[in-house]
Amino acid sequence: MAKKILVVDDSEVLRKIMEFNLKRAGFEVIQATNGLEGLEVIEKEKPDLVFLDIMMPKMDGFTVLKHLKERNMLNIPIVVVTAKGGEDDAEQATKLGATAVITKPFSPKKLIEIATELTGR
Amino acid sequence: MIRRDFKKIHEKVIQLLGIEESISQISDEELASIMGERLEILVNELESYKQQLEASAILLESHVEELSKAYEELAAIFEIFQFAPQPDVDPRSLIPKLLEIANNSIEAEVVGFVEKDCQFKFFSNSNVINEDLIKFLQRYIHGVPGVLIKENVEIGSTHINSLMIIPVTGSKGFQGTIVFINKKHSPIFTSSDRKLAEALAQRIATLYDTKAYVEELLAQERLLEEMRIAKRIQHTLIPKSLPRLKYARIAHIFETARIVGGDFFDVWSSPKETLFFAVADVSGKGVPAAIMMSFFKGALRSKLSDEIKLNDLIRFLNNIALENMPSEMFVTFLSAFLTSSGRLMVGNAGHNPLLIVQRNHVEYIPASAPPLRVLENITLEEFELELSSGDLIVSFTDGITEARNERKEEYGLDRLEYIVRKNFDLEETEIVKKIESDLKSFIGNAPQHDDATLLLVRYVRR
Repeated sequence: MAKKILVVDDSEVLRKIMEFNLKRAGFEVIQATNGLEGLEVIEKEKPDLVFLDIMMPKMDGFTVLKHLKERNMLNIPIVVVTAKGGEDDAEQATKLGATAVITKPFSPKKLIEIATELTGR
Repeated sequence: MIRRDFKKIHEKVIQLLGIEESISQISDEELASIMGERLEILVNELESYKQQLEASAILLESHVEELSKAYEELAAIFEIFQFAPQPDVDPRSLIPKLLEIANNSIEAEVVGFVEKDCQFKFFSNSNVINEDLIKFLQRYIHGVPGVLIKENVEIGSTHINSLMIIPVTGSKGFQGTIVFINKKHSPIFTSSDRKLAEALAQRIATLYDTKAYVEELLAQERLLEEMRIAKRIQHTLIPKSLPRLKYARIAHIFETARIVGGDFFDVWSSPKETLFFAVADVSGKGVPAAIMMSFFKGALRSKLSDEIKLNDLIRFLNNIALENMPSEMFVTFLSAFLTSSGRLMVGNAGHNPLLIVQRNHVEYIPASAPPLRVLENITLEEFELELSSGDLIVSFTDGITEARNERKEEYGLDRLEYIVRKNFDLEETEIVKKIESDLKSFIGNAPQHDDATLLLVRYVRR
């Protein structure tokens, strides 16, 4: 069965790019447009991997990580997606339990490499 | 009942098809036939919609694919520009990684870089590289390098499906070329491949520019350091204090140019209280001149004694210079002994004349031998004269008389003589100050290119 990946990002274009590349690499892709929705989808769908944006409306990525920690759900690998120059963000995300951090703009190829590695496919 | 249901279905169908039609006056058979026709039209339309949707989906997918590719390029460019130029990093060490990043997006079988003089070459995959290809690239580099994008190129026995060559040219000129050979999954390199490769070339050029700039700065710094060293050497050669004698009062000017010019002077008094003084100018500038001065002064001091004749001294120094100085150098050397009784002996080897200024008379003692290190055997004609009390002896280097103002005019011997005579009755240090200030006002803002040395001795009978 295809591994299920959740993409949480408020940018539709970025979601499309990630979906397109991940699907082509054989993953099942589900999406959420903000942190709050992301949290709900994680609880409901139990994805194998989450790509989580930091700057989002309603609930940002840091808060999502905190909630996941409280609910003991950090067994799901979370890859945090930060903007260029957000070294502090990356550090904070790692402290909050993110498995890996990638910086925008990222290479779609690298995205697939990370997804493949972290889902143990 | 059935007819009523059919009527409802018919209403829906004509609504979907967007037509108006009444069935109230027609029989059941006719209605069935009409319904059949209408449904067929509906099925056809649905089929056509489905095809359109599928086409749109394919189009959308290709758009996303393009977007995705653009995003990959953007990521590559961002990564390439993270390689900031650093003063202590050789561009060569960064090139393999930079090429790899760009090629992640461009996807050529081989990517490489060849420096302009071919001293440095790098290829991601050396299997494809053969001598023919290297020769081709060398020839290309020797021509006028521009961007080259070509398909189906035969180089020697090698067939290349697609080739892209991008020159690396920065503010310090052409540095080399980037080569992409055989694009994977496509027969041609695209315009966006070219854009990305050009961005890569720009970054590599900046790395080379930075390196060249840093090297220039270092060379300048070395030159400045050399000048500082030369100056330090020169200043150690000048007497720290002048001998105090009852029969001779001494004052001097010693102005060194920004670049050490080769002047030096020495004053020495013998155990029998004979005064010796010399003014010399070593040809050349900078550290070589300073080293020669230092060497020359050592030789001079080693030979000075009450007994030495100026002729012997000069012959000795000439031989030392012949043996030890490079052939393009020479030394002009003016030397003199003054005794307490007022007897002055002068030996001038190729130097400016010595000036004897008396209250009502001026005497010039010109060179009577060539400069040192020019001829193998020199014989000096020694001048000897008796001084009267109060007479001034002025020796100097050409940095004084050949100092130029902004109109390129020379200060000249006449003006020097005039100033000395005008201030004849002043204290020696005051006379020297007058010369200095007159020289300064003459030069104005013109740069001083040469050292300027002047030694003033007044003979006073006890």
